[in-house]
Amino acid sequence: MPEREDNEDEDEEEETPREARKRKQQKSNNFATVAVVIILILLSGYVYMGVTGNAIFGLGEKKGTVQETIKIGFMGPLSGDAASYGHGIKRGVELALKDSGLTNVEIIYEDTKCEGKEAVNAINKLINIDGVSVIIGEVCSGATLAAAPIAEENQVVMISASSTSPKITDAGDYIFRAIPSDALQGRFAANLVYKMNITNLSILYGNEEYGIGFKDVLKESFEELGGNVTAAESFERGSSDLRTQLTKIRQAKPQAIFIISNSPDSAVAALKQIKQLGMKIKVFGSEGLKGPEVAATKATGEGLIITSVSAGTEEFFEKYYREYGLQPEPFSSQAYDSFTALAETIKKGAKTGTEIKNALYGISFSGVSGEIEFDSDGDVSGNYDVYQLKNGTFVLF
Amino acid sequence: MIFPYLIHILILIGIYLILAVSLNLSLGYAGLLSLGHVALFGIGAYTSALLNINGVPFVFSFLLAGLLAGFFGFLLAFATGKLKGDYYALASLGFAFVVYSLLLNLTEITRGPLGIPGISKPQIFGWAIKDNFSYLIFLALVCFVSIFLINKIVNSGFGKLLGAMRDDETGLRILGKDTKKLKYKTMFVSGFFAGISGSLFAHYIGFIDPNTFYISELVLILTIVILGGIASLKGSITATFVVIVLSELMRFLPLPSAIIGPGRQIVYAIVLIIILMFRPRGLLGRIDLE
Repeated sequence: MPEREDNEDEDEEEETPREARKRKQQKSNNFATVAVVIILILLSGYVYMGVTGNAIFGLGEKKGTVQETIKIGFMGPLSGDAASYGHGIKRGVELALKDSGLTNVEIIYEDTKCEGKEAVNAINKLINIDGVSVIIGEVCSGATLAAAPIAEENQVVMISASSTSPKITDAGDYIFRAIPSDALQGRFAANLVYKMNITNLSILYGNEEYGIGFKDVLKESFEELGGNVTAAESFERGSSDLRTQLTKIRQAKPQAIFIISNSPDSAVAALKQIKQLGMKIKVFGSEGLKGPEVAATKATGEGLIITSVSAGTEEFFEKYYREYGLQPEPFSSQAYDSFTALAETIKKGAKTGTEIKNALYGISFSGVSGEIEFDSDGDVSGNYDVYQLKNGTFVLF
Repeated sequence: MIFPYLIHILILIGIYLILAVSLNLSLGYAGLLSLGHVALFGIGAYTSALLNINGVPFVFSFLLAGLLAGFFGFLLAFATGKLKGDYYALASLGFAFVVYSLLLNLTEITRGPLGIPGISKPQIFGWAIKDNFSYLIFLALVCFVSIFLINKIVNSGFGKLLGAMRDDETGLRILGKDTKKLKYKTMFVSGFFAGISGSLFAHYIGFIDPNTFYISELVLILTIVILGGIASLKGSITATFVVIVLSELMRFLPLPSAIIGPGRQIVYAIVLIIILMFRPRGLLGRIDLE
């Protein structure tokens, strides 16, 4: 232990200045802690005043207006990399609010960045502090699934405009969506292909949940209709050499090929290599192919037919353009329909989460994205459009 | 109705307490500027979630999450054994990127960007934790034990050696101490606690994806540790309360929510800059950040 003794000697020598420094440090430590605590108390006080203040204002307003304000939560990515979806949906909701003519509705927006943790934070705040009875959102399937158990437990309705995961079907009674499950697109696609007098189909699909789920439904439905799936080959997301799979498909001699892909790179590669291998067959694709990358292939992709969730009626296009000076963004029409469905229930007098939930199951109207009628799982049946690639742009088929 | 919300915030605080204190062990006490901590947190979360979903009881998946994260902490220390200071920080940040990219691309195991939904609340032997209040009690228990253990470690002879290594590694080696072994042990323990906090996080939130364990989360926990003060457990505990409560309070500011999300990141950054400029030892820290 010699080194320790040395240290102690040093300590004794420098005791006074060290102690003084220590005391000084202690003082400033205490000061910093006290400062932080005071700031926190002030902030909480401010928030508390805000919350109760609002409640008082709310009471004051109630005397003036006949109806009670219904609070609606909105959860979505308003910042971060998925923010464009969030804003498109927000605009759709606001447009629907304007058109519904409801005045007793207040929407409270929470940004979740499409992250599970943020969604759980936001829904806890919306339910427990704001006391919302219904929430529009989440946008991404993962975040919806993270928040769904909390909504279900608190009997708060959640209605999503964009979450397509088949898992959401079983997420609970209070969980709705105005966009069809991925599982339904497969059935729609099978009908489309079969109606074009094609009986021999090959499938090229991305090896992930979306691709596998879609492929299974497409194959099953197509065979039910009387068609024959001669080959089904998978590829890894993002891979750009699909010659092996395409050669196998060529040997099966199908009349058409259906490409299911979420990756623009793979989709473009598939289209190019189909041409390179000299396959002269009809090409179909899932909605993942509807993007600028595929459109830019022009001659290579010419004639490609894809299925896609509806972007909205022409009337909606005009209305949206007049309001925002923009084309409807992805899921704007579904967001519009989500809010319209809610507005219907509110007009009928539903207020609590349970009342709104019960009313939603009975709703049926023709929305801007198609027929809106929720089945017993809170899903809508497929509202799809068919597009064809012509001269580098996707036109309605 | 405010109580469920408070319970939720307390649960978050509890999870980040363990995470921050474990980071302070490696960053503060041992002086290893370990930016890979967020990856260890992620490894814990994924391990626990995947094992539990495949039928492993919670108690085992929870402990295995800690052990695996600890093992990766050890690996990180092993691989970067010769690096010091900024170089170690860079290498450990690289580790965080590698883990992120593995979580994203090992789609067969981790489901990639789709994340893992439907992680259930824990069931400990017979006791099923269903509501948040019971979860809070369980978490408080784990939190207490973790902080108690880490406190024991930093006040032991081992803790003193860590401090010595931070202040003068060469000196310690001249005295015949094996600093490599010290680093391995520290990173294992630090990783273990990061892993169990990851497990607690996954089973509370119920959904994890790779983005949860990336830069923004790293900035959050670094802010907590640096604000609280390095080599001060009390500081980390205080700072966890301050930062989590502050970021939740920001929701109530009368600003559009599209601004609050990025605003939070700005606040973290400003806090870090102010601390570094005016008070490099943080609120309750005992040594200056170099």
